[in-house]
Amino acid sequence: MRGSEKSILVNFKKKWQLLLFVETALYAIGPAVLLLILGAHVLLSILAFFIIALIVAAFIRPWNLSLQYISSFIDQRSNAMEYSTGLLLVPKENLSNLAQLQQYKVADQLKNQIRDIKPKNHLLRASITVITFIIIGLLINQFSITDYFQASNNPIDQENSIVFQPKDSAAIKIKPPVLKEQRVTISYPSYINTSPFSTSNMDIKALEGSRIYWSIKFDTRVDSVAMEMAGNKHLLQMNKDSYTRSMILNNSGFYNFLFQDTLGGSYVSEIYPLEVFKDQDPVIEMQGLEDFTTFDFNEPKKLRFKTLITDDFGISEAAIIATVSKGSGESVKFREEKLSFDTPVNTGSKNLHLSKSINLDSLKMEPGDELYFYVETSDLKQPVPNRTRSETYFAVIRDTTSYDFAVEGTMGVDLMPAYFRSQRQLIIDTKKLISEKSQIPKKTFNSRSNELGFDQKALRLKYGEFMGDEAEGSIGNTEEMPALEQEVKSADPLAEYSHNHDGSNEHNLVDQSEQDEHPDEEEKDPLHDYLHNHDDPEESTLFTQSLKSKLRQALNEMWDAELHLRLYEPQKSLPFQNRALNLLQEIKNSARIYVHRIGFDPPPIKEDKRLTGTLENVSNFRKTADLEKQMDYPNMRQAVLRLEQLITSNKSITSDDRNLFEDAGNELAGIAIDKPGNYLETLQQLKWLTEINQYNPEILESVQSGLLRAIPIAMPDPTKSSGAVGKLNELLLKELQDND
Amino acid sequence: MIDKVSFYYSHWIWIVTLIAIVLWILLVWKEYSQSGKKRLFFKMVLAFLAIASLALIALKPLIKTEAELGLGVILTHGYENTQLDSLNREYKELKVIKYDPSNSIDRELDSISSAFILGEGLRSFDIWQLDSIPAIYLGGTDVQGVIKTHYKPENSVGDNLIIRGIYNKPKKGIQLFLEGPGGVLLDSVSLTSASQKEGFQLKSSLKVAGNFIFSLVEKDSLGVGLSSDPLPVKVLEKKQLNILLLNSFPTFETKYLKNFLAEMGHQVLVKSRITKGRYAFESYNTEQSSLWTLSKSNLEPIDLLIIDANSLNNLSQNERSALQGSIQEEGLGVFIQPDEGFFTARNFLSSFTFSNDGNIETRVDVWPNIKMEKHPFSFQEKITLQPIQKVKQKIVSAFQQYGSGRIGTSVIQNTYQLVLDGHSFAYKEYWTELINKLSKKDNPLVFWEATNQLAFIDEPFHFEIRTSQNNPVVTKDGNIIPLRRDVDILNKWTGITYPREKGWNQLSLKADSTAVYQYFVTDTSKWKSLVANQSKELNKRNFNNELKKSAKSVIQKPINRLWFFIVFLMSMGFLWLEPKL
Repeated sequence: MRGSEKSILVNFKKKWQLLLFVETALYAIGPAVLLLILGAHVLLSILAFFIIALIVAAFIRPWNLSLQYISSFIDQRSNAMEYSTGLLLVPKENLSNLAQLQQYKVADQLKNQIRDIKPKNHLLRASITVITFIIIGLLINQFSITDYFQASNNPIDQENSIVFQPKDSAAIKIKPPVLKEQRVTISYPSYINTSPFSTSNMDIKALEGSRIYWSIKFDTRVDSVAMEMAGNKHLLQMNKDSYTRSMILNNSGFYNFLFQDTLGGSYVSEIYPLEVFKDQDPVIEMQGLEDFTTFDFNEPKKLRFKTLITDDFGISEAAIIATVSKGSGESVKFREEKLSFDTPVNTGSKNLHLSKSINLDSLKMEPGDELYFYVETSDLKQPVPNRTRSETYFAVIRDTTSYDFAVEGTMGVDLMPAYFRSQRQLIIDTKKLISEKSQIPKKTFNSRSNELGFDQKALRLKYGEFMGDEAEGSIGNTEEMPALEQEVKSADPLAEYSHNHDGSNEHNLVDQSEQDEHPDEEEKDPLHDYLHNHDDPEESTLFTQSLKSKLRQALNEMWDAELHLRLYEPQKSLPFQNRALNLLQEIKNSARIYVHRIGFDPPPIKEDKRLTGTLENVSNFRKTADLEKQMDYPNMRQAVLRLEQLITSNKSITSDDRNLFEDAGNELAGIAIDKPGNYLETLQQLKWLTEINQYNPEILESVQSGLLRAIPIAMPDPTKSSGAVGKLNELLLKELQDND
Repeated sequence: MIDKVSFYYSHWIWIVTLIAIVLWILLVWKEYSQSGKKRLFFKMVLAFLAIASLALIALKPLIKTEAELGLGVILTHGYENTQLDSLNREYKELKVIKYDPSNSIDRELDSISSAFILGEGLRSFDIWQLDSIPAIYLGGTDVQGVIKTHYKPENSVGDNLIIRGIYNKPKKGIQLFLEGPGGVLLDSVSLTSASQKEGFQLKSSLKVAGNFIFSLVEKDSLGVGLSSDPLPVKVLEKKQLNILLLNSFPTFETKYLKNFLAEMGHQVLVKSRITKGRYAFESYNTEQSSLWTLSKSNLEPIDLLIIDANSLNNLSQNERSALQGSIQEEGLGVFIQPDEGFFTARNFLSSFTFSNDGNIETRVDVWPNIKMEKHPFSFQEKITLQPIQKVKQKIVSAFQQYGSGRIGTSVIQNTYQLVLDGHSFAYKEYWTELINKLSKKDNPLVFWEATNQLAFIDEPFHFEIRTSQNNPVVTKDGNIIPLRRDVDILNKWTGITYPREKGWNQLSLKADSTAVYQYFVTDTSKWKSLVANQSKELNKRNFNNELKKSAKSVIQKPINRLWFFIVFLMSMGFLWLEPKL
């Protein structure tokens, strides 16, 4: 009787203990499942489950549950027990009668009540914990947060990993070395200012001039690792335990890896594209400015504009190059200035908004002067930066007082260089100077006289060029004094302009002296006789002989005129100038070409005279050329045909085929550089066909179709065809013709 | 009597006789051992009768009798049951013969006087079987699919492969695809179900020389492949032409044409007059650098002469006859560059006639977006005129056969304008077509032609060759194929071969190892609708004779084998009963 009552309690205890164990298990399941979701190994998560279960069990201690505790628990929960559940545990013999009575009663009650009493547990809490853990795991998985942590320490993700194929199928028998780590580090040129970055993706796209650094690691020792690029093989250097190679990227192309294991088996990887993009030139956009701006004299002469400069990697500098031209015609003068923008240029920025307002007055421009300017900018590229210049813009201050110079109708050709003060102008200026002599200080007078002397020199030099003289220093040389000194230094300044008729050796009766003077020159130049030497003024062919001597005379006059101007004696220089002007005028007139303005009115042709002229000098004309047409991509075409034969006949690839496929691959690579995406797969498969013995027949078709797609459509071209003509046809045609 | 009897299974006669003799000996020995010599002879005869009738049951003896022949119906693939039922209702005792291309129906045909043919009909190589029997072809279910195709099986690199065809009973959404080698999709067309028969055209440029298999793939609206049929295409390398251009003064037209031809690697010699008696010679890709007068010998290597009308009319008498001879005998092609006078005046060589149409601009049908200049004339059609390019039914360029050569001209002028306008592809295509049509044809030692494009495994493949050889020998894999000479055309020979292997097969001429002909063999699972339609049409043409309702004919009728069985039963019965008596 008592035993059965006690057994109720024992059963209750077992039930409670079970619940506690379940609770423990639930607590342990949560983290274990989380680990599993995060990608940990199954064993690891099972281990975690047990560890956590042990820890939780140590806290909960389900085995510690005593019957006394249970009975007091039941007493607490149920009033019907009357705090006497403990009696059930006491042997009957030890109880008083009353106690025995109570024991009976309680036992009865307990039988009825035990179902309503729930053991104390935290199952709900445990379940929530489990669910929370699972939800967290799923969330992490969903948003791939793990990848974020893994990317930095896991060097290979499956998609990008280099796949090596054994070249020889026999090599499969042994376990091939496995790639452990692959890494490409790309460092852009230093001027870009970006830190190098690494990736495990072998498809490289980088700026021209970047340094590429490959590093690959194998799990076992391999014999050698090489990289194939544009038909060349580069061995990778062994560096600690990885194979590395670095190069500066200059051209687009393709590359692949191959390695040999220690047993002599060769393996080849896929082909990867190497794409180079260039640093783009900066782009200049001018805003708020017209190509041609005119100002009236009395207006405020301000030009305002904005410039937007953009570049892909940063601008180094930007400036406005302005040229002011003063005067017109022969007396035009240019002045170049470099202006900076009002807004400062931030070196290295990719977008620049610059503004500028140019005040024409501050450039000392007068009516009639013109301003040409453009914006020039350069980027940071090393060693030679990319430069861009904008269009040229014009600004003119209108000169209402000027008159237009009209070219006279009779002047067909203007032989004079327009940007010099002419001799006539010099004379006018000299006369003006003489007339102003009394009104201006002596210093100014001297300076102006000297300036006129310089202009005279410039004019002389220019005409000298016509004679074939070499210019002594540039015309624009403002340091005329040293030049003058130099001239004075030479013993006979006129020597080079005059024929020395007074010499004893006038007719070159004796050329001894010449040879004595320049013995080396003769020896140095054995080709002299065969050359058309334009450098020698005496051989200049610009003018005929009479003109030449006249010009020479004019130059001599100019020389004297300059001399007097330089000596501040404009008065004395005038006659020389006048004589020079006269001579020039004569020369001009003789060299002038007259063209009838109305046009040419040919006389009517007499028909009977046509084609009766002598044709002695008209000869037959012959031209021969060989334009052998080269078939483009011959190997690719050959490969397509060979593949067709391989597909239809089930033959296997020979070594000749391999060579053919390799050549075809090289041709295809040429096409593929422009569009690597389109042909990369075909290129890859061609590579495998050339390297690997074992292949899938489907690959042949795929390569063939890829090659066919890459070959451009042929241009129409007539061809010789063959055909047989039957006797019957001939007869029929003849009959038809005869009856036609 | 004995010559009237034959056996159906006559090829078993020896085995059956042998077994019968052994059986008889066994039987006789058994009788002898059981009951001795008593009535032995009688038993021997009985045993012989039994064994003989057994043997005859096996051999199925036939007896020639004169018999009344009835009508028959030959059922071929795709026949309709309703048709058969109607026939059965109309004619009693209609003999039904099932046709299978791989088996003979010879014997069944013996017993009928006339035949109806239902279904797709007899295949072309079985038509002869009904030579002696009048037959009517009644047709069958309509074939669905591609029933006709036409394309050039031999092309050059750069040519367009154009496949034209007719699709019978198209369903909505059916698409036809042209697939190149390696499964490259080249062109496609979607069929509408608007018409009973729908024409289609597929086109692709040929890029690579060699023998290739293109395929015509049929897919339904969901993109599920219904069939894929092979289109064997031979692509030949380009052969360079030797072209002579004669001009009475230099023109832009000639300049551009010459540049085009020279760049393409052809041998070009241009002779244009600069002034009286003085010429400019330009030669490209050829050794010859000048040519003064036309003669038969220097015209011989020339494939095409392009000459302006003025130069043509100014040729000397000797040159004229040399030129005529070259065209007629050697097959030289001539293209005349016309001038205004050419269309109205009589010209040497040309018998073209023109009518003034006043149009000086046109758009050729193939390039409707491109304007071309033309002379205000157009060709007058006549039977010997063969058009090259047309504009809305009007011929703008054409040629006439002249002996074995061709003389052509065009009313289109200043085509170089196309190049200047940026239509250089059209320009090239225009001239390519003209030159291809006109230039001299190679006359090979042997010219192969196949009567039917497609060859099927184990089915006859007919081919013909044209050769000047006296006794050509054609071999396939070393075996000689007998040839038959045409009675009227003496250089034409025909032959039949039965291909055994799929893929490219090769016929070769014994005299010349380079003269080979390659043809593609496929199996009967391909081109089903096309083949069905071919035999339908063939049957329709062949079998429309008057039916002979009845006829008498000597036929071999099998003797009812029940008689032999009765004899056998009775003899054996007596042999069994005799010991018990």
